[in-house]
Amino acid sequence: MALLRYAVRRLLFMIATILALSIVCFGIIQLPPGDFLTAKMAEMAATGDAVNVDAVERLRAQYGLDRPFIVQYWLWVSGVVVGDFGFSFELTKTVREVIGDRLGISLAVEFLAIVVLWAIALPVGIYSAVRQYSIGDVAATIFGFIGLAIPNFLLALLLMYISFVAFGATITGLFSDEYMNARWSFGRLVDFFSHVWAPVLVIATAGSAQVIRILRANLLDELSRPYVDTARAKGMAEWRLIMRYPVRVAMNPLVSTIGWLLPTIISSSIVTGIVLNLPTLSPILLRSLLSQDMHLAGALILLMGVLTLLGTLLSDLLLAWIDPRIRMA
Amino acid sequence: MKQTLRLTMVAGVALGALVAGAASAADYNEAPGLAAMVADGKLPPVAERLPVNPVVLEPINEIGKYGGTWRSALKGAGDVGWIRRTVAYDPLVAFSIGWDAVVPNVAESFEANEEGTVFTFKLREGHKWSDGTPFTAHDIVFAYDYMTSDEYFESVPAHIKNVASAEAVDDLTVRLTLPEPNGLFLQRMASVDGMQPLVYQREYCSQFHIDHNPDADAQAKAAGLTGWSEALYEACDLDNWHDANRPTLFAWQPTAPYDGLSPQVTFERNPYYFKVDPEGNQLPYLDGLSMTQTASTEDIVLKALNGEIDFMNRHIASLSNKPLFFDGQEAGGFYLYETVESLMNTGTVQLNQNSENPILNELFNQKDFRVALSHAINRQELIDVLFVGQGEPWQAGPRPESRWYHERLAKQYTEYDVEKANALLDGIGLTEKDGDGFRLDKEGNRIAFRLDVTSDLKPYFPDLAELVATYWSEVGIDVDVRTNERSFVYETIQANKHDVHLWVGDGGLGDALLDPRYYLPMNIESLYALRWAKSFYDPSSDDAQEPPAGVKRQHELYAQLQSSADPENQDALMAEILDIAADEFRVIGISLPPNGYGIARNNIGNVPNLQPQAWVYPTPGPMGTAQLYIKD
Repeated sequence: MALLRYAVRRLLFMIATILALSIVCFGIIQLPPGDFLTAKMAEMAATGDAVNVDAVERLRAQYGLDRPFIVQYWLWVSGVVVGDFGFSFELTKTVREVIGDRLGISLAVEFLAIVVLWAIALPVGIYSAVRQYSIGDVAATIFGFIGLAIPNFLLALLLMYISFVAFGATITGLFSDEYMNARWSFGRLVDFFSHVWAPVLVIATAGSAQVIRILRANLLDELSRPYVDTARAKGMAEWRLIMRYPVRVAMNPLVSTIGWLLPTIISSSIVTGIVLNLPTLSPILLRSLLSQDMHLAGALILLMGVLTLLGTLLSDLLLAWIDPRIRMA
Repeated sequence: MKQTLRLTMVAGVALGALVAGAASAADYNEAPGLAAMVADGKLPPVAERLPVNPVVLEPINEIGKYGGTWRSALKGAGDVGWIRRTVAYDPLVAFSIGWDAVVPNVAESFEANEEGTVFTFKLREGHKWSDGTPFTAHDIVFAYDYMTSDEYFESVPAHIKNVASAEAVDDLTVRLTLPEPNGLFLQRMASVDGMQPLVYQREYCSQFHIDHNPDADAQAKAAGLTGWSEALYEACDLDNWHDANRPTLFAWQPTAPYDGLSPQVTFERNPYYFKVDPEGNQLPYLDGLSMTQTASTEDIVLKALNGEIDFMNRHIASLSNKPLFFDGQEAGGFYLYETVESLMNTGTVQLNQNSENPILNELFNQKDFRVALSHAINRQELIDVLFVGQGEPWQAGPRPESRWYHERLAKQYTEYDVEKANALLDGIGLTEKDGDGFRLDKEGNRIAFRLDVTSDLKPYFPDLAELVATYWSEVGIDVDVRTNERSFVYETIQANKHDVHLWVGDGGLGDALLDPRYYLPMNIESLYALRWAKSFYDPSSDDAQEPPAGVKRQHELYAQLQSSADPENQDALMAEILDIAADEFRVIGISLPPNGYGIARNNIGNVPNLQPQAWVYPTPGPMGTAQLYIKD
């Protein structure tokens, strides 16, 4: 019951936060000088075209870019409330269509990455805490620091280079030529998995390095606690003991960050996504910001904000659920 | 008079070729896939699909064979340029491959009246759209009616703005009337925007037009667009490749559209394409094109190295990638071909001679100041550092290959001579210096100005700007270089708030006539004197400013050139404009860009070598990409 009241109160606060957030992200999009049409004119000039200024002014009026900030904001946000996220000037499609097209693939890549991340990080983290300073721990530590230190995009480039030199294969994209525009089929699924390992590996490596370090530190704290000694003295099997008590406690800080994983669906792999040419939402976010395609950029940033809020709520609820101390406090 | 004569001659030569082509009409050949469809009754026979007089395209090397796909790549969602270069260059009249003549293409023949105000184009009898419906003069008139109306959605290309009326004399004859003589009209029609009037199939596009469909506006708004005009523009205009249903005249038709979302854009053969080779084989040879859409240049480079790109130079052919491609030739099964760069400069340093800052305005308007700054630049060092020693010191003047090459304009003041620069600056009274060695203006303040540079166009720009600033600080001029986002730079320059602008040198080859922006201030990109330029292209504007005598004379000459129909007269007028440009020396150039390159797979046939590389002449389009083929 207390949990429900807690959740409702948090939800109400969230709505207020989202409203404030929408103002901020619309403001951010308006911050850079110029607008979509200036960016477009600059691009035309780069290809050697001279631009007709009158026509641009007319377009500006048609797109409503000449109206005051508050009017533009109102037009946008009143649409967002009813689910109309506006129109992408650059792609001449509704924002909903653009995001809808890419969301599935983004979710799939990110979900796989998270699964792989935890599948690597959990056992390695536990092992390196329990066997502190063993060869395995040192190896995991080295791997961890390298993983933390190498930027994702560099890892992606390295992977591209190695697979090109060693196997003569380009690993960019998520599909082979023949499946790129095809409908989903068994063959396409197989093709997808034969490509998706590279980005998943890249995204998971840096993340798992971090998780390994956190898990190791937390677990080391717990392993020296008296309750562990007590359990051991009572003759509890070692691995069962570790998994059941210290690991569960050591997971707390990690659970509290699960919420941050949600916005990464859009943002985590921006650079990786571009380097590896993934058809996900992250390259679209970057492009929309560069071309000042404001409705699309605004919708994506807002979506990230909403996902962050949802994620925080989710991890708070999770924490309260697994740890009675938090629920009671 | 002479113009008409020359044009008829060119047309005559082409007609001769056509007669030869027509003689073999009975034995036209077609791609095996199309022959099968004909056999199944799904397609009319090839002789009925071709015009009575198809264009006979002389192959660059040899007759090709049918089949295969041309693989390349598109960068991001805004890369329509590559499609226009590869698929969509088939205007009424086209540039010859050497960029030295305008020849018939979609139009069978053309003529101009003596004044250069009325242009008549004769279309090919039996020419059909890709859906098999006849292509007629009415389609062109439909396009012009929309594009010249106030409702047209985008900025209007210059050659369209200049047309007062378009009328269909009969089904196969279209007559364009200009409000005033335009000697450059045919050049414009052959340029990259020349297909603009040829992409609006009346039957298909009228469904979006309010005059033909009363519900058009409501339908457009329901789809989220601003109105019927945007819907029509989106569906039918040249830059829009996201509608795979639109019939075209091009050699290939889109099958997977370029909508910014589909990861691969594909094209397949247009069975009604209007060109044949000398043996009567209907073109194109290649079955189709596939372009992978990618967000990163590195991805394209890797694909190229891995032999997954058949023929391409866009995005990847930078100087820094050249060694990589050179070493990868054997492994990747490709080779490097050469292109002739159309830019005449790696960097044009444009001191804003219309600056709103009175001190800078006065300084920049002194020729000795500009000459001094030019002498202060160590161009050879720049070339060695930034361009691996390729190129030569060059001012803003046409390239040595150009018909309008002007030695004095290109070479004057290029020698590195700090003493001379200092003497010149001293000579105009800038003798006082502050504690840091920088010169003071007449009010006793340090002479300092800003150079906002963007790296979006050329990655070397920030380095170039920094080096120039270093050279200038050695003669006591303080330049503050800031690398900025391109929108910011563009806002600044359009508001005429810039001190100096750095760009490349357009107008090096055949584009000098159409776009001589650095030889005289004449368009929106003449950013060393935007207000004087406005007095030429938009005299009624409040920002227009009366230019000095030399520029005024150039404006007169260019106006004459635009209305002259005689190429020899045009050349003479251009020479005079360049003489004045050399006398006035308003733009400081850096160096001549070295020849470019591209990569082609070893098994691609009819790849041109030493083709000009430009945008007005959309390389490789004017080669006739329909003749590319894959060897065994």
